[in-house]
Amino acid sequence: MQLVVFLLRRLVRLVLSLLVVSMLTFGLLSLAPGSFGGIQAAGAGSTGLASGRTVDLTSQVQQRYGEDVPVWEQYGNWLGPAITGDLGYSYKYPESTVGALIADKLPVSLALALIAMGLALVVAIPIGILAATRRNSAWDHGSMFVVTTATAFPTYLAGILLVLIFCSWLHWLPTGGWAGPKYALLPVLALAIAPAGIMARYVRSSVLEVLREEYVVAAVAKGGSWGVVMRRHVLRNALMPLVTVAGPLLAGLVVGTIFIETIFGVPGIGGLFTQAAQVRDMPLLMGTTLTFALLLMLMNLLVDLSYAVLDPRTRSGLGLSVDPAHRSEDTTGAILEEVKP
Amino acid sequence: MTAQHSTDSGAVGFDGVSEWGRRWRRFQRNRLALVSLAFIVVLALLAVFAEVIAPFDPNQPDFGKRLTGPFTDGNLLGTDVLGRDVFSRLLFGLRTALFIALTAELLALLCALIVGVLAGYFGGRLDQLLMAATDVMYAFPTYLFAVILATVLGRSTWSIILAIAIGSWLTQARLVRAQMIKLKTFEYVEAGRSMGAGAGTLILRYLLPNSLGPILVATSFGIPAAMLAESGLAILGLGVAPPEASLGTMITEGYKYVLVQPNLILWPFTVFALGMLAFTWVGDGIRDAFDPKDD
Repeated sequence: MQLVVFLLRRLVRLVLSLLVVSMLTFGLLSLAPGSFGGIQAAGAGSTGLASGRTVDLTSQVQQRYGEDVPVWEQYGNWLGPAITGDLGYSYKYPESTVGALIADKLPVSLALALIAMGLALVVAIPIGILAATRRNSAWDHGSMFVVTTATAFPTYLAGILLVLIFCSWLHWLPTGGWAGPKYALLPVLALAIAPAGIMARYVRSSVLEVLREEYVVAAVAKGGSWGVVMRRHVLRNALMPLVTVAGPLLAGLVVGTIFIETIFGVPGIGGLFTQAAQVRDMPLLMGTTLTFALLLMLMNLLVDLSYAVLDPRTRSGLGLSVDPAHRSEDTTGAILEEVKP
Repeated sequence: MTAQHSTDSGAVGFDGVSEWGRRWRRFQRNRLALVSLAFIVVLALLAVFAEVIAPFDPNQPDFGKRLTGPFTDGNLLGTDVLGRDVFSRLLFGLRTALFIALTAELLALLCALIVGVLAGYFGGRLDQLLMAATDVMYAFPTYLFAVILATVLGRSTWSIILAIAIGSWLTQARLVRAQMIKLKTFEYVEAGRSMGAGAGTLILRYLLPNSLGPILVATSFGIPAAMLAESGLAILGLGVAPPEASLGTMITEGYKYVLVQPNLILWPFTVFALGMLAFTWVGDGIRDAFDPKDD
């Protein structure tokens, strides 16, 4: 019952937030200089097939959203169908609906983000555990230095560095395109580096914290072998909070694909968003922005839920305590605190 | 992050060293931060004296020598696709990048201080508004917001500064607010109030000096974040309009020729990455400096 109330409350908030995000995006875009028609006309010149199509399209757009009516009325004309799931037709790709375009491209970005997240976890957990169990050793200092450096690199700088090494210098891999696993390698690596760094630091501090707990001391005192204590007592408790970091990081990765897709020419939703912003493709920009925002909020909700499921202590307080804004501030605070070697 | 309990940051301690002296000592203990600070000073000097140092006009094309390698014809780091001197462009690009990052961060900090102090100290409507706004912004992916803002505002230096500042001030305002709320319950603030200090005095003499540490740390991490935002916008084609150079646009331009002339991207990339790391490490050092627990 409590869970239902919690979920309902969060869903209402989610819908409200989406509404505000859509208003902000729409309002800002209507302030932006230039319009889709204008940009297309300037690009295509005044003659030719393209300009004919643009004129056609402009009149269609005017029919649907109204060009001469005030902004709020245009927004209303967009919002009405959007609530029923009809996001309209893209200006740039007039043959397909925004929904179809997103459904087509989103899986690519999601797959990239998920694989990168998996890779980051596989790398981060052993590094973090080793650094914690051999505290203040050369391995600890060395790996934490590398990890802190990696964390400072955003996806696109990491991507460029990888291209410099593997394409320009070693000539092993293609710089861009999308035609097989070989093409996904660098984008995935570039995406994985920063979250791997953040999570490795998190695992290290989390394991260190649990190692100091009395139940670990007790387990060792009872004669438990190091391996068993690590597996049953330390890791189980230390890795659980990783979910709270991994969730938002995954959402961040999906957004981070914007840059990676631009650099490597990957056909994903990030590319759609950038194009939409560049040519003022209003329906497409609204659709992609809302998809990103929805992903982010769903991820936060999932994290809160999984936390409640994994940690029985928070389950009872579910109805009152979990405030996403406060929580994410807390995690970033914890991460910032953690930077300190 | 520990709050300082002395109300006057210039106070001299038992050992005859001022609070700032002790902070500087703690900062120096972090060697990486010290080296980083020196590096930043060098970068800043290069940026300030770009006109004096640059051997060529950074925006002057020379179609006779395009995409030459380093150390040819007096072009220390070679030339780009329009035959412009990469070294000169690097200096001016560094200036643009630093200017954008510092100004955007200062602007964001100013807004954050004003709104954060008022919301945290007085509470009420403004506070509710601030919290509601940050809640929405948590749902709005930061980069998307910056991209849309940059689309609206255009590609001049100031519009990019504005886009970055608008995108980042809210979280900082929230930090200032949290500090105010925490500190205003402390006994020395209570004591000040009981002695008749007004809100202005309490804020300026009691609350702000004691939240200096966390604010400075946030600022020092805000600068590399702003540098990143600038280069991120550039990657998406929303950076400073040509022919003006910034590190971000140089990296973006250079990327097109990464297989032909990797030099074009290597230099701005190296300077950018090192500069960003240096700012991050100085931030670490500042955090140590304001954290008296290992004195």
